[in-house]
Amino acid sequence: MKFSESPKELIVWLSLFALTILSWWLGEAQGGITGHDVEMVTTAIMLLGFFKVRLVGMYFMELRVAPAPLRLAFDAWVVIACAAILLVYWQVQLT
Amino acid sequence: MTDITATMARCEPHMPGEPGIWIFIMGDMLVFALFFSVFAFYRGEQPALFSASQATLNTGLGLTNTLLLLTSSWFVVEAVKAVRRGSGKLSCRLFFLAFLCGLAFSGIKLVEYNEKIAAGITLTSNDFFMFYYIFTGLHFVHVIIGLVMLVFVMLTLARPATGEQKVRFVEVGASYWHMVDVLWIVLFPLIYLVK
Repeated sequence: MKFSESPKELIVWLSLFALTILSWWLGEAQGGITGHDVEMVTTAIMLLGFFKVRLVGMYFMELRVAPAPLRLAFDAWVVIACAAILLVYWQVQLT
Repeated sequence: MTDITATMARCEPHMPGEPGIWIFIMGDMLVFALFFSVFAFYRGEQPALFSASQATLNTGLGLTNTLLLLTSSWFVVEAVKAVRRGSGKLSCRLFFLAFLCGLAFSGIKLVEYNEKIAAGITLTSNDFFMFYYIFTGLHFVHVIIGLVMLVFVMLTLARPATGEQKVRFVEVGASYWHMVDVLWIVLFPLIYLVK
């Protein structure tokens, strides 16, 4: 595996850049919608955010080649943090 | 070829830096996960107040700062690759570019705080702004610590010595800097975009 000659990280950076602009655009577009559509967009924005976190973790922090316990701990954090935010958010919206 | 590059070439697991930094990173990330949940909870208690307060935030500056940190992280990735190849000079330059992005982030953050304070919005204005100042402020402290670490990484790279020890130290700095990026990737949508 030759890291130095791989453009993989450049592609990841470009994806992160594009996804960030997409979530910002989605955030701005929320002004023009109402009802449960707003909640769906918010959910999409948070999921995109945590997907970006995972990209940074796996490719930039090199966790995809790290020992399994470390990789799993990071993945667990992504799932727990994202689930906690969304569960609290939806619990409030639905009551 | 350094030992680390050799290990990675054999596709064996490789932990960047050392276990200690990862214990710190995971601990710090857990604390922030708690912050995220607390914010989501209080937002649910006062949705109208949180929405109205959020509307006064400058999302353009938040977006710019996110893009700056992502770019700085990418420079750091390339810098780590460079030092593993033995190009300490190139690595140092790439770390400097990452440092400049971090500096720009800090400048923008200060402009943003200044805008808010000038408009009379402070920590005690309401719950939204209390969380806004505390969470972005704590993250800002992480950025400052990260910038200091990047300086030490650059000083280490400027020394002629080579070897695994040096690469490990560079990886510690890089891993910490990526964590600063990760935390902001969640804080930006949570504070600026969630409706």
